[in-house]
Amino acid sequence: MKKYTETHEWIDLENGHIGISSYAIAQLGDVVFVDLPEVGKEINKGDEIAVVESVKAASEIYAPVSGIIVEVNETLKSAPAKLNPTNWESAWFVKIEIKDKSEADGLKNHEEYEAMVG
Amino acid sequence: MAKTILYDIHTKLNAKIASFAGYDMPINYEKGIIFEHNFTRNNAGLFDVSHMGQVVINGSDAFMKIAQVDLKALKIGKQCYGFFTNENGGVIDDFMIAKVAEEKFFLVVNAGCKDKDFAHMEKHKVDFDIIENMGLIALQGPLARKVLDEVFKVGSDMKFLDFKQVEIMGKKCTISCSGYTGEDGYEISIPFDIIHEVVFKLIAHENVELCGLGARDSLRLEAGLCLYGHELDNETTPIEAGLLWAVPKSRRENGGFIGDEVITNQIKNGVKKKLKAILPSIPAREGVEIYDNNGNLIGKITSGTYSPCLKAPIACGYINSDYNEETVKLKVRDKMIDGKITTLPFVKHNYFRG
Repeated sequence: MKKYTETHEWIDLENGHIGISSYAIAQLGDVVFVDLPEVGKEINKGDEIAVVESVKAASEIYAPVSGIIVEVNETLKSAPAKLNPTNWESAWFVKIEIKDKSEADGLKNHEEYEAMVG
Repeated sequence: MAKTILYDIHTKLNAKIASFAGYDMPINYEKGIIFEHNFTRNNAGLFDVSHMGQVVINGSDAFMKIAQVDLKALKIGKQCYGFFTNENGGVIDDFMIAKVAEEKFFLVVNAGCKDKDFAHMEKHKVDFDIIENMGLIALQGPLARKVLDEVFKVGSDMKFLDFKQVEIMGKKCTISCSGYTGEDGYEISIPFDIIHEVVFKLIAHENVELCGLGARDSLRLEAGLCLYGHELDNETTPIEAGLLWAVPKSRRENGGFIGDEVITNQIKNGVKKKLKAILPSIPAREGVEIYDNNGNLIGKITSGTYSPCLKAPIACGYINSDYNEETVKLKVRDKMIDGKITTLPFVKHNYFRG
């Protein structure tokens, strides 16, 4: 099940994938570069874990929960521009081993998130 | 937040709006920055730049005491680039100025600097009138010339930096053959009462797309053009910014403007820092520190973006002028990445010089 942060990241609690919402990517515009962390890195909830760059600006992606990076999505590195708001929701940045699922309790479910971004 | 006369068009076309220099301005329209950027390089992009300050200057003497331009030598019907300098040779603002008639000039200044420019000119007894009833649009790109001729039958006789008064839809407008993209094109000052219709007629042409400030920024950086507040500011001199070409010979020799001694001295004896073009391995934005290959801090990035034409990150920044190596390190977030020094512009200019 996906849970959303107020800063537009999502985490899939089943497989530990983290991505950002299609709303967020629509705001960013054309993505030209994605900076991903090293596998094995330990992260705390709220840490910066990746950066998405559009022509205009860099936007930080924060960890929705704590854990360890176990995989990064290398395909984003080589062809970020192929991603667009329609398929972004299924494109993950990193996979983490979640330390404590209860950290996700305060996050929003899909309906709550959609209500927030309107 | 202020709005330009064309604001309703931006919102109707679902532009992404953000505040810039006190104005709600379009960053991009629905097709996005990369589309608009490439369209301008291949066709013609139309930009609303009505936020910029448009001013009539009466008389050249007072103005030439606060800027490096040679308004006496400038021919009627020509435009040139210039800047207001401070006592340290730093730049208060940069601008374009055109000679309308003997001792009468048309000045365009940056939106974010308008108020301080006006105060500065007033303080130094420049006689000027702010134009309050005209908007400003820029039509830029290799097909701008063809489009403007087809739609309004003007501009086809103009070369780079020509300036003239024309009639569009029966109203007096002024037009310069210049812009901020490195492409052939025009900036047209148009009365409020017809500017909407002018824009509608232009965007109805198949070779025209409206473009926002996002593409304007990536286009100007590819073209290696300085942006005030980034490459130019109160602490940076035109010589450091590589703008010696904009200081006419007469003004290099005789000075006579604020900060002239600093500038003359730098022309003779060199500068401590110099604006350089850099190709970073990943995007490096404004504020990123530049290091030599031994880890010593040697400068800072002033503008950085992704170049849709080169399909790679580009940046420029100030580097200590004694640095001669071809590569640098850039501190992007917590990493040191590679940068290669190159020359401006990143994409060659395509001005029409006849």
